[in-house]
This record gives sequence, structure tokens and C-alpha cells, in this order.
Amino acid sequence: MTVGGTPGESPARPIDQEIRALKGRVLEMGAWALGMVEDGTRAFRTRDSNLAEEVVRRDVRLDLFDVEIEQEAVRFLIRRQPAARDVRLATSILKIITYLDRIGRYGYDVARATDPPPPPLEENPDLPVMAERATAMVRAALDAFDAQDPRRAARIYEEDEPVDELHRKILSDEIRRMTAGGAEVETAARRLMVSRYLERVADNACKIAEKTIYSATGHRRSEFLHDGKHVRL
Amino acid sequence: MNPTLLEGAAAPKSTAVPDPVITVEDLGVTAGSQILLRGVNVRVPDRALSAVIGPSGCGKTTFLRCLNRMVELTPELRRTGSVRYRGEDIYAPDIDPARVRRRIGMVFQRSTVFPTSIFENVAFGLRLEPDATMDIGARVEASLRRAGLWSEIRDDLDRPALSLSGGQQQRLCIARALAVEPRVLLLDEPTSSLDPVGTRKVEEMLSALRNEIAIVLVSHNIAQAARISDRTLFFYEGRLIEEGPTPQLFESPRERLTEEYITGRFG
Amino acid sequence: MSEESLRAKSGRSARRRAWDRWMGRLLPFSFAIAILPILDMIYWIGARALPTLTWTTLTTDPTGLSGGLYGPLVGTLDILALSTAISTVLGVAGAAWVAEFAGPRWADVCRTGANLLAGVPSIVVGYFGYFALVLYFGWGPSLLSGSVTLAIFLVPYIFRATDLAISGIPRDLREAALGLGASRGQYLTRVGLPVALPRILNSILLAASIGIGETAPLLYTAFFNNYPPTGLTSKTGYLTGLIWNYYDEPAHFGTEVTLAFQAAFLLLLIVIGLNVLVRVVSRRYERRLRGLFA
Repeated sequence: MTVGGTPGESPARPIDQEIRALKGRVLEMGAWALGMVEDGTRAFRTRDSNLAEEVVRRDVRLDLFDVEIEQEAVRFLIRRQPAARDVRLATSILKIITYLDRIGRYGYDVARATDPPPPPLEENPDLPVMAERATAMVRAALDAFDAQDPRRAARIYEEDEPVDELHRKILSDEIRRMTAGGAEVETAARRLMVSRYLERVADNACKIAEKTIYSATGHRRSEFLHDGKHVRL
Repeated sequence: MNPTLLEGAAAPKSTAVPDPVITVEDLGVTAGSQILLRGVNVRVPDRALSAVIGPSGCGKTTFLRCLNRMVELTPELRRTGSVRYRGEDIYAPDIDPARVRRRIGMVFQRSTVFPTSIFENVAFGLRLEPDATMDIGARVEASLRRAGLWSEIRDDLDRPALSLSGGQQQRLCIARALAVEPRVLLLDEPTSSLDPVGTRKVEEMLSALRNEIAIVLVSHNIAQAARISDRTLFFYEGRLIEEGPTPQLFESPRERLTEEYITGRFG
Repeated sequence: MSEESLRAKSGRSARRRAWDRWMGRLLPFSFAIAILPILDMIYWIGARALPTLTWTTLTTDPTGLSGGLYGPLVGTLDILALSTAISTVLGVAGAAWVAEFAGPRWADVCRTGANLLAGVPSIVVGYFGYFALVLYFGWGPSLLSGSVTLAIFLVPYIFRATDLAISGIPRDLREAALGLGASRGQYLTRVGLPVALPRILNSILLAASIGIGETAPLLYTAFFNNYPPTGLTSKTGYLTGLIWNYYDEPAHFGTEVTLAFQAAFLLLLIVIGLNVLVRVVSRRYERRLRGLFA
């Protein structure tokens, strides 16, 4: 062992413990936001006003997460003045909590769309599928983040297109329903909004994946999204 | 998605040094059977500050001392490879080491002021090669200004240099080195014995200076290297492991060893 | 930590303090014992020398068994000056060369040589001077022979002190000077020697003090003479020679014994004078060097 030290595995370092703690906090917030989306969507489909109301109240805690984790990340930056993968991780966390905050907010918005409950209507089967896919994307993005695995993060991008297609399908379905007129217009309109919110949830999951790829490899989005599939980016 | 981009860290954009003031080729240094440096290839850019970092004993000071033939002062060291200043081999047999050291100056870790007045310290180098046309007073003042010391000591230049504070003495050493107007300035941990204020003043001075000459700075302090350097060179066990533009090296180093060191996971 | 109060009167701490106190009393006492003989000697000599010491004594030559001290006094001063000058030049120049320029083998040879020379008894040096300078070179017994012989004896003191002083300069300082583009010669003249000067001066003082008292090297190379030297090649007298000559005389002629004491007293004065002089000069340099070796 040289005088200055040897490189190698050192999981017991204080800085690694701090990093693990920070990641854990992000996952906590992710679970909370996910819950808001899932429960908000369920409330909408089952026209459950009580559940919707409860989801709305969760927004306070969501915002608190955002503020707390930001502070913890800044303190980490000050204390450790990190470099390389550590500083990439800390700055990625600062952006990821913003994305998670949005995801949770969309859950909140879906819950708000439940109240007052719209007139009942036959179920649009695409909505629950879309909700399922979008939340799966968020879960996968958080997993990839926890593992700092860029491959897993990359796969999330492939899920986005199907979700977009679903959204377009729901759009046309509900617009057709609206042109039929009557009390269904209200419900259809609400469904349009919910579909839009879910599509945005999926987008934000992609953004979390993007930050994970950066944090793990140092590559920024412009370097790896070149194949034209994601025009928006 | 291009799978190769998922491997390791970001691919370097072009980091070649276009017009180096010093070129080091295959430099090696041994002390008996012990190898202090091996296979070092570096191009030092002009008008830029290059930081040399690495753990204790990695050879960074030895490397620095090769750049102006100070390594010769330790007789047990044997050197191989070449060091060129603007294309000329500084170790060529017909070259006077004193001349090399006037072009490539050096400042040491601890203050090394001479026991004479402030003025005489700065004028020391100028008096070595007497030149009747030179206005020594003006050159001394210019050097003290460049070192950011003029305003603090202008009132009495005949004061003993040893009566200055540690930080001032160190800046005096820098002024003294600058007086002979070197094209390259080598510094070996110049702020390691200074308090934060002294350190800041030296760093400010170096930042301003880098627009005029080439600077090579050895530092134990990684944060300092990140703060003020344009390029960073990382040494480990006598080898140059990685070098590149500082922001890039600190954000996404190519080599795992480099990352281990700068994130503090060594030893 | 133990519970005993800070003021423990017994136990290890108290024993240590008692020991300190006793040593504090004992050591000055030993110093007094060491210095008393010197003080006594000064008194003893002074008491016998001063009462009859007059200006006349200092300005007339000795006349065999009485008279004054003029010749030997001048001789001593001349020898002192000349031998110190020669040994200083040889010692400092040689040491400067060894410390800075010589390769490791030559440096070793020179340093070993100086050490050997330092161990040679003064009378052997005197013999050497006799055979080499007085006889072989044909200088005869003279001021020159005596001074050169004495200088040979003194060189090692100055050489070693200068060598240590220059080699002992912090490496950083030397590298700073060389790093600014100084040649080794420029380093010596502008940094090395100036910084080493106090120690060099001290060694010269030491050499001079020793030189004043060394009689053996001079006995065969300068013989003895009552009169002041007329040139480098003349015989000369010196105070120590006078003491040596006169002290053994039976006490019938009290004057020569008194003269001997007076000569001794003069020697003491010269040594003290030299000490003071070098102290004064050193102090000026010491002030400038303060903080350099920190």
C-alpha cells in the first residue's frame, strides 16, 4: 500500500453512507408521488370522492419532501465538495426531486378531476392500461436510479412511445364521444385531462431516467438521443 | 441508443494541446533500484495553469523538478527521456542549467527568502547577469505588482524580508521568481503552509498570471486544483494516469483511479 | 485520570519537582566550580602583572632578563595577524570548494585530511615546519616560517567550521538561489558565505585564540628574539616564548618573573579583545539572519 493510499472498494466510507441516505430519501419521495398517481387514478375510475380528497391532502407532504431533500443535497455539496460521480449524483438528485414533485402533482390533478364525480359512463379500458404503464415507468426509473444502472434507465425510453400512442387513442375516442353530445361531454372532457396527466407522468419518468444515465456515465441527453424517436427532446 | 455510450464515462472531446511550451517525452527517473517516474508524456500548454495532483509519493514533485533541471541537484537520481522547452532539449550537454532556470522558474513549498531586504530579494535574479541598461528599481516594482504585493510593502522596501508574514514571504518568493521574467513558472505546493487569506491571495495572483505565462502547480489540495487550473494531471505511483481539461476531469474522469482519488476514496 | 488534586504533595509528581529543585541548585554550583579557577587565574596573574606594568614596559625591548615586552608583543601580534590571515584564506576557500564544488570522493578526501591534521600534535607540526620551511625551503627561522607553520596548525579549525556552516544551510535556500539562475559560484558569494559568516567568524576567533597560545610550532620555526621583527625573514620574539624562557629563571632576578606575568596578562587581554570584537560583528549578522533557520 503506498503512502498516499490505495484505490479499491470502500463501502464503509462516511461519504458512501451519506450517498446511500440521500438515495433512500429520493426513493421515499418517489414512493409517495407514485402513491398519489395510483390512488388518484383509482379514485377517478371508481368515482371515489373520499379517496380523491385524501390524495389531494397528500400534496403538502410531497412539497415538504421536495424542500427537505433539496436542503440535504445542498448540505452534502457543501460538506463534501464532491467530484466526479458524487457531484453528478447530487446535482441529478436536485433535478429528480423536481420531476418527482411534478409526478405527484399530476396525481393530485387526477384526484381533483374526480370531484365532483362526473356522470357514470362505460369504462374506457385504455385508461387503466395507460395508468399501469406510466406508473410502471416511474417505478422502473426509480429502480434504475437506485442501482445507478444506465442500461435499465435506457430501457424506459422504449416504454414512452406506447404510452404516447395510448394517449392519442384515448384522445380520439373521447373526442368522438364528446361530439355525440349530452351529459357524456363532461366525463369525456375529464378523461381527456386525466389521459394528458398520465402521459406527462410517463414523460417525467423518462426525464428521471435521463438524469440517471448522466449521473452514472457523465453523458448528457444530447449525446445519446440521436435516433429521432424522441423529437420532443 | 448507442450501446457503447453506456460504458464508463463520457468520451473526451478533443483535449490535445495545440502549442505546448514544454513537451515531455517518455520521462523516467530512478533512484538506485527504486522507480520514481516512468513513461511520462506531457504537453504543457502556454498561457494556462496546469495542476499536478496525486497521493504522496506518486512522483509529482520529482516530475516538477525535471522541468527545469532541478532534479540534477540530487545526485542519486538518474533521468531518462527528454524535456523540451519550445522544441529545445533542456538537458543537452551544451546548455547551461542556470539559463534554463531563468526561463523556467520555480517557487518552493516553504518560503525561501534570503536574509536581506525585500528589494534585494527581488533584485537577486536581476543582479546575476548585470545589465547596465536595466532599471532594477522599475523591474522590482513591476514584479512586486505582478505578485500582488506592491501595495502592502511599497512604503519600505529596505525592510528585512524575514520580517514579513508567511503569506507575504511566499508572495515575495513569487515576485522574486517573476523578476527574471520566466516563460514558465513551476510551483510546488506554494500555499500548503499558508492560512486561508494568504492562500486566497496567492491563488488570485496565479489566476491573473496564467494569462501571461505557463504555470505548472503541484498541489495536495484537490479543491485548489479544481478551483484555479485549466488542465489537471493526475499521477499515481510514478505514472501519469490521466490528464485533461480540469472541468472535464473533475466532472467525468476517464480512469477509475482518477475518480477514486478525487472523490476521496483512496487508502 | 486519577482523582488526586492538582496540588498533590506526595507521590511521583512531588518527587519530580524535588528533583528539579535540587538539580537547579546543583548545576549552577558545578558551573561555579568550573569557572572559579579561571577567575582565580585572572586575578593571580593580574595581581602580579599590573602593579609594575607601565607604558615603558610595553615600549622597550627585553634585555635578556629584564626590560620590557615590546619586541615579543609586536612579534605576537604580527604572527597572529599573519597566521590567521593565511589559515583563514586556506580554510575558507578550501571548505567552500569542498562544500559546493568537489565531487563526493574529493570532498571525502579533503575532509578526512582536515580531520587528520586536526589531530596532529602542535609540536609535530612545528617539526614539520622546521624541516620543510626552515631547512628545505631555506626560509630560515623567521616570521614567515613561524606564521605559515602556525597557519597549518590552525587551518583544520577554520576548514571544518566553514564546511559545516556552508553545508548546513537549508537545502531550500540553496535551491532557491540556483533556481533563480545563479551559478554555484554566485550562490556561494551572494548567499552561502554571507549566511555562514557568523560561524566562520567564530571559528576564526577560535583559531586566533588557539594560535596565540601555541608555542610549540613556533619554537623551531621562529626561534626566539628579543626584538621586533624587521621583515618576513627576520627572527622574531613572541610573548609565549618569553613566558617560557623567563618563568623558569630562578627568582633571584624578580624582574623576569614579573615580565612573564605581564606577558601572560597581555595575552589574556588580547584574547578577551578578540572575543569582544567578534561578538560585536557577529551580532550584527545574527540579527539579519533571524528567522532563516526557523
